[in-house]
This record gives sequence, structure tokens and C-alpha cells, in this order.
Amino acid sequence: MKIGFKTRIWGINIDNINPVLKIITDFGFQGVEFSQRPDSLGVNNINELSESLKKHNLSFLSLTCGTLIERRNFLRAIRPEYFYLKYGDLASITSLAQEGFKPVFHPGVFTPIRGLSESLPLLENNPELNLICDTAHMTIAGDSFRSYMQIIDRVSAIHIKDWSPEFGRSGPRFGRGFKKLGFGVIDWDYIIGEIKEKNYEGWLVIEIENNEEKDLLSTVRACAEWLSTYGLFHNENKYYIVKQPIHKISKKYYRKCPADIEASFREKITEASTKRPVNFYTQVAKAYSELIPSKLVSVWTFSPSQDYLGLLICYPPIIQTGKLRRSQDLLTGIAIDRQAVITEFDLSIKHPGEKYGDSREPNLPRKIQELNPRKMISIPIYNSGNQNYVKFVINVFPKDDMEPSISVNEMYKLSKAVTIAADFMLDSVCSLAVTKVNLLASKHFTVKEFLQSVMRLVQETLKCEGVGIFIVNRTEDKLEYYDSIPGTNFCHEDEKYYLKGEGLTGNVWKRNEPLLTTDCLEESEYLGKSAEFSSSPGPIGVIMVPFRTSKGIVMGIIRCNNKKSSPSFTMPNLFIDDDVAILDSIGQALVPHLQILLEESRRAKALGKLTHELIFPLVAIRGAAEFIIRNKEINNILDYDYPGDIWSWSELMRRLLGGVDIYSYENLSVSASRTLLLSEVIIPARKQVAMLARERGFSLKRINYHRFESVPALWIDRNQFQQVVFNMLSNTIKYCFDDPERFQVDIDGQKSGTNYLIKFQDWGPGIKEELKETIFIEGFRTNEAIEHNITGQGLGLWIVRQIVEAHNGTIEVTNLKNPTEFTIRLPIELSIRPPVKQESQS
Amino acid sequence: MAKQTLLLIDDEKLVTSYYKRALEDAGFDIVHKYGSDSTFELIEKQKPEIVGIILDIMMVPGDRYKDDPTTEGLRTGYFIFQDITKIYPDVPIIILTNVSNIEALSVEFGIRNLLIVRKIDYPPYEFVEFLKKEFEKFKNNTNTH
Repeated sequence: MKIGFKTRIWGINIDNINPVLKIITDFGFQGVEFSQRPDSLGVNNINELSESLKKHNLSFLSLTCGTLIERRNFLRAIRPEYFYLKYGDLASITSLAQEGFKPVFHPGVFTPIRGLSESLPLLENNPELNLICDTAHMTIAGDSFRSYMQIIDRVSAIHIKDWSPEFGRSGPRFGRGFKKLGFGVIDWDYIIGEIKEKNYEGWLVIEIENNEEKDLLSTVRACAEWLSTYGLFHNENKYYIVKQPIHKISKKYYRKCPADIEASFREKITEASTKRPVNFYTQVAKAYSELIPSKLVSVWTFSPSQDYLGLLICYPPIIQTGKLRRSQDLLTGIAIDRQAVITEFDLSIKHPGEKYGDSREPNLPRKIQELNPRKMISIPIYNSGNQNYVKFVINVFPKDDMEPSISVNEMYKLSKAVTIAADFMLDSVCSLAVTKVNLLASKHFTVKEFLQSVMRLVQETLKCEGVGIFIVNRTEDKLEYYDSIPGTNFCHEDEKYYLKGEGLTGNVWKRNEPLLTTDCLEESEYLGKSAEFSSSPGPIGVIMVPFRTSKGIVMGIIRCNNKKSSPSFTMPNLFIDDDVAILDSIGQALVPHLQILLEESRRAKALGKLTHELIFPLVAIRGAAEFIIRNKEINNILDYDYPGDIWSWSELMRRLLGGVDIYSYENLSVSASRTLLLSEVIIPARKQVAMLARERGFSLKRINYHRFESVPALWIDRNQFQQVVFNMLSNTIKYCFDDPERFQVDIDGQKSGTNYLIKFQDWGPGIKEELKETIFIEGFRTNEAIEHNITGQGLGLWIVRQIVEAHNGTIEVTNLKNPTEFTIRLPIELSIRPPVKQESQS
Repeated sequence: MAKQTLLLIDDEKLVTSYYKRALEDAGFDIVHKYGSDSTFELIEKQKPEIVGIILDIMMVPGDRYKDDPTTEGLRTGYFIFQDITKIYPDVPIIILTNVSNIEALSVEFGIRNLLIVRKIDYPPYEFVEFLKKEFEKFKNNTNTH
């Protein structure tokens, strides 16, 4: 195996390539791949480059940046180890191969072909084509290194790059997850182990795309050290000292922007970064129009994964925003392909092979042509995490009398500020959305409520009409419609689920990749399902983003349609990559909450089912027991009240099952009737705990109740209140630790102001001050309970509180010990009418 | 006074026999068949005169409801309810069931104040007492209207 290094100094024109090559070769690398456009390599022609490489004993691996034509022209005399083909260049495979180039394709997040499954047909149809295996992109696409090893003879190089999912997988943000080697999630032990075991003979290329190291030297050193931990490198030259500066910027390109103009520009950009996406782009356009006095500034968003350009903003807003397929015929498309600022493009000259505008958007060129622009500056703003990826392009049409005073390098420098501002803007929007999701999760306890609130959050953040959520079923064979924002006419009867690869939605699941489209009817996969969005009139802009488990497996999809217009944003269907990033963050944040809620709801359903199964025999037992109890003849021949015991046990079971019922229902419903507390609630509940008391040798006589004279019949749920008294009494019984002397309960009822009070007093072990509130929390058990092996699920007092609150009452501990006192307060209105259901506090 | 007749529609054999016996002990005549098919056959042939109907919810759909969305019998009673109220529009109906979420059930029926009772809360004799009270109320209401 041979080990190469990939430079990452894109965007800077360097004077001299030799210091760069010296560092790389001194640390023991055998080859070099340049992330650099031919004209910014610091050489005058290919022969100079060739000489330098020879001098440093380095193989020439490849040249990543620049258009196909530029690179092909530059490389006339030399053949690198492989030649990159971008997605739009795939038609040139054969001709390049005939010229002796070895064409390769890099599947990656920034192309429509992201995974190995999509790349394999390319390999099959083009025997001349090979692939680059990029470990980071491979991980993002969900491919395994094992699958790449199976086609290893078609892999020209393995790009060694680490990645962590902390910024998600969306286009604008995934690159921020590129990590220093060994600091991401990639399983290097496995990958390096496989490479060694299979005796891989190709190139390993170290590619570092993060900003953690301060310069090329420390980056190369860190990589060499990391490689040596795997026994791949034995170079001990760790104390290299740079004698020559590497990035000396050539004076010939350099014309300084006036300080006050630059300061004002930076201030405007910083201010823009606190805005939401649409306002951000408007502000940026405005800032550029002031930097370079111009007729028009337009901002084009580029969705590399979908390969389309969207015109987001025009300043001043003279034309409708719209969408164009990326095309090399189009100037903006060229800026993206070249990854370079195109300055002073003279629009009056017909440039061969390049045309201005696009016939599919007749309004666009005409309106601009009316301005009669003579020149154009196209400034690509690249993605800070992945510099192969242009995030958006700013096209400036300077005023006729304006000679651009700002050089290319100056433009790069300023565009860096825009990159950082764009990151900051998107980070703010995403992290706000994530915080909101977490907040929603703390407020909503059912899957339905939680997802409804998340969908409203999505609608508000993306400013779109429809939002729906699909979830992969348990057997993982269907993507099922879960819910949508009501009234958005979202899901047809035959769209209740999608199979993998079925329709657009099913394909998003299959590919585990987001989808953006300005009109889903135009998409070839649309017809796979009969009625995806077909009811809406006009073009239907759609965005679908999968949300994944921590293992990267699709758990579900958020699907939105029809972006709403705003005064500066008139194309209603233009979803952009920023929207993918926002949905990706929301999806990532909702997954852990959703997993817990789904599991709880599944458990509650299973519990509910089991309860139901148990109720059936219990009804029969109680029916039979009732007959025996009423039959005097049978009772006369018994020397002990066995039927009474059966009845008490059945009551106990009924209460336990009742508790489960409450637990399994998300909203406790009250079926109130006028009920006398003493005779219809307390006395029956006291009977119900008889078995528990008797079992511990407690006498029921020690449960005292007063006369409740001041409490009239109340509109309450008789059964639920029996449950309340039952739980209160059984708690006291359980916590008396089998001591009959300590066991005593007093129950009293009184009227106090606008409330009726029911007080329970006992002389048990008492309650610690700090647990006064905690004991009412679902599932809470005291240390004493656990130490003394007292059975229970920690639901007793929680259930009591649920019931009391469903009657608009409260329960609290009003004395901690000797006696321990609980007070239930019920509103006085219950003597007149049933409890009115109150709106949830959340 | 002639015995009052109740129509009991429930297909749980053992448990229904308990309720039937408790109701008979209280002096009611009970018309009862297991399952919806035989019940409707009896009603349509004889159209007995009844004062009240006791209806379960979860029952085998039978031939009569096999094509209806009874959710494998979980909601059969709902369909019986629709049909039986057409035949006996003025006879009070009590739902006696194992379904535990009563509120959800009454929402499904779309009828406020429908009497729904859980078997687990009302063993046979307690149910009879409850039923008598409710009939009394029903009679008073009808008389005053």
C-alpha cells in the first residue's frame, strides 16, 4: 500500500508549491493530491509541477478542483494516478479513458450519487470507471467498508477521513463533522485491519477537512503520528521546522479594499447572521451591493445533492425568484464548478461554450438584460466544513462606471466572513429548533401530542404549508403514515404506507437521504405511488428528511410541502439545503424522545391488553363469589368467612387492575355521579383493604372515620375515589412494617372555605421534608420501601393525584410525621355539578 | 303484575349466565340468545315486548356483521346498537361490558349520558340493584315529559 496526502488550501493562490511538497515528503508520504485549481498551484505550467514532484519524490495522484476542461487542458503532458469526474461530467468517461486518463467518481454527500448502491450501476456500465472510497462519506451514506472491500479492484484510492454526526448529515452541515483522525466515529481498527489483511495495494490518501490544526505542518505531523500508531508509518521526523512561508500571497493579485468599506461590509454580514435564512440572504445581497456599487445582486442557493440552483434573492427585488437546473452553460454553474470567483466577466462578448441565462426561465434573463449589465462577478460561498461544496453563489452586476476595485483574493477573504456568518445563522436556527424539540418533549407525554407539536414547530420554522410524519413499522417492512398537521390534506387513503423504494417517500427511506424538489410531479420516481400530493393545484415543492436512530437506521421521515411566499421570497416551492439542515437537526433531536414515547406507548398497550385478559376471569370469579356470599346455607356450614376472603382478594385484584388501567390511559376520564363519600367510597374501600390488613395482623377497627357531616353528596367518580382511598389505606398498611401497634388511620371530611377537605392521618414512619412532592411522581419509590422489600411500582400516590386532579382538586402532605397527614382538597362546585375538564396546563 | 322482560345480548356464556340468574332472581324475564345472529333471528320472528336492553360490546360479529369494521369483534356491540335502536326506538339500553375506557366508548357511540357499566365494577346482584334504580329514574323522566 502507498500513502498519500491531500492538500487543502483551496481558495488561496500560492506563490510556490515547493515548501508544501517538502513538508509532505519529509514526513514520509509518497504521493500528493491537490484540492487546488490549476491556476492557483503556484506553478506556471504542468512541466514545472512535474519537476517539483520529481524533485520531492512524490507521485502525482490527482487534481480535485476546477472544471473538467480546465483540468484536462492543464494536464496535457502528464497523467495523474486518477482523474476526478464530477456528477455532470460522467458523459466524458470514455473520451478521457481514450486519452489515457483513469477516470474516477467520488460518491459523496455533495452529489446526487451518495452511496455505493447508486454507484454500482455506474461501474457496471462503465468498465473504465473506478471509485474513490471516502471513509467519511461512506459512513454518512450508511455504507460499510466491507462492501467497498468486495469491489476493491475498482477502487482507485481510499480517502482516510474521520467524521462525527454531531452536526447531522445535511448538506450544509455534515462537513462540520469532519474530525481529526481518531476523534470521530469511524472504526479505524476495523478499516486499517481489513486494509492490512487484504494486502491492499492501492493508495491510502489522508484527507483532513477540519480547521483544528493551525497550519499545514502541524496537520501533516498529526496525520503522520496517527498513521504510526497503526504501524503504517515509521517516520520519526517530528521536529521539522518551516523555513519558508507557504501561503505568501502574491502582490500581483492583491488590491486592498478600503478599510472603512471593508469594516462596514463585515458589520452588515455579522448583523445578518442573527437573522433567519431568508432575511440573512437578503442582507448579504444588500451588503454586496454596497461593497460593489451595482445594478443588481442575486443570491443563488445551490443544492448539490439535488443538483439544482435556486435563485433565492434579488437585490433590488426586480425579478421573481426561481429555480434552474445546474448547467455548465450557465455562468453561475461555472462559478460552482470552478469553485472560484469569476470576476469581470464581460457579458458583451460571446464566450464559447458558455451562455448567459437559461431558456427555461425566460423572465430571468430578460429582466436582467433590461438593466443592460456589462459585467458580472460571480462569487461562490463555500461550505466551511467541506470546501468541495459551494453553498451559495452571489452574482454581482456592477454599475457601468464602476471598475471593480477589489481583487480576487480580497473577495475570497470577504467571502470567508460570509461563510462564517452563514454557519452562525444556520447554527442558531438549528440549535433553537433543537432546544424547542427538547422543550416540547418535556411538555408532551404522548407520541401523538409530541409529534403534533414538533410538526407545528417545523411548519413555523420552515414557513411551509403541510407537514407530515411517517414512521417505519416494527417489522421494518413499511413506512407508515403517522400523522400530519390537520387540514393540510396530506395523505391519501393509498398513501397510508410506503414500501421501501416506493414513490418519492419510499425512496427517501430506501436511500436514507433527504429529498428536495420544487415540483414533485417532475420527479421520475413520483409515479411510483399513485397519489403523492396530487390533490394540490400547481407545482408541489416537497422536502423530505429522514430521521435516524443512533445506528443511522431510518426511523421515520418528516415530509413538508409548499413553502409559503414572503415579500422578498416569492417562489413558494423553493426549499433549500438550509431547510434540510433544520429538519435534520429537528429529526436528530426528536429521535431519543420518540423512542422512549413509542416504547412507553407499546408497553402501555401490552399492559392494557394483559389487563383486559385478566379482567375477564376476574369478572367470572366475582360473579361466582357473589352467589356464594348471598347463599346463607353455604355460609352457615363454613367456620370461617372464606367467601368473604375470595371477595376481598378479588377487590384487591380489581384495584390493581384499575391502577393499570389508569396507567395505560393518557387522559383520565371521569364518569361522575352524585356519591356519598362515607357510605359509597370510604366504607367500601376499607372493606377492600381488609385482606391486606388481615395478612399483617392489623385490625380494620384501627381505620377510623369520622362522620363527614359537613360534606354532602359530591359529583365524583365513585370507582376512582374508592381507588384513592384504597391506595391511601394500602400505603399506610404497607409502611407500618408489620407492627400492629403502630397501625392507625383516621379519615375525616370537612368543609373549609371553597373546598371540601378529606384528611388521612397515620402514625407510620413519616415522610421526609424533601420528599413531600417527589412521592407523587410516577414510579417514585422511597429508599425505605426498597430496603424493606415493600411491593409496588411507585404508582399509588401518582394515581391518587391523577384522580384528584381530574376532579379539579389537589392533594398534598400537610404534616410530615406523628401524624403523617395527607389532605385532599375538592372544589365546592362538586356538590352541584360534575367536574369540568380543564385545559392541560402545558 | 306481569313480569317485565329484558333483552340480554352477550356471548360470554358463563358470566352471562350469572347475570341472567341474578336478574331472574329479581323477578325479570330474560330473553337471551348467544351472539348477534340468533338474537336478531329471535327478535325478527317474535318481536318480544321488552322494557330494557342489556348489551355487551365485544362479541363475535357473526354472519350479520362479518363485513362491517368491527375490529375483529371488538366493536360488534356498536353495530348491534345501531340496528336495535331502530327496532326498539324507545326502550332504554344499558351497555354492560368489559371495555375499560368508558369515556372513549361513549365518544364512539356519540351519545351523551349513555349508560355504560363495567362488569368488573358491578357483579351480578349489584348490577341488578343498579339497574332497578336506573329504570326507576328512566320511568320518572318519561312520566314527567
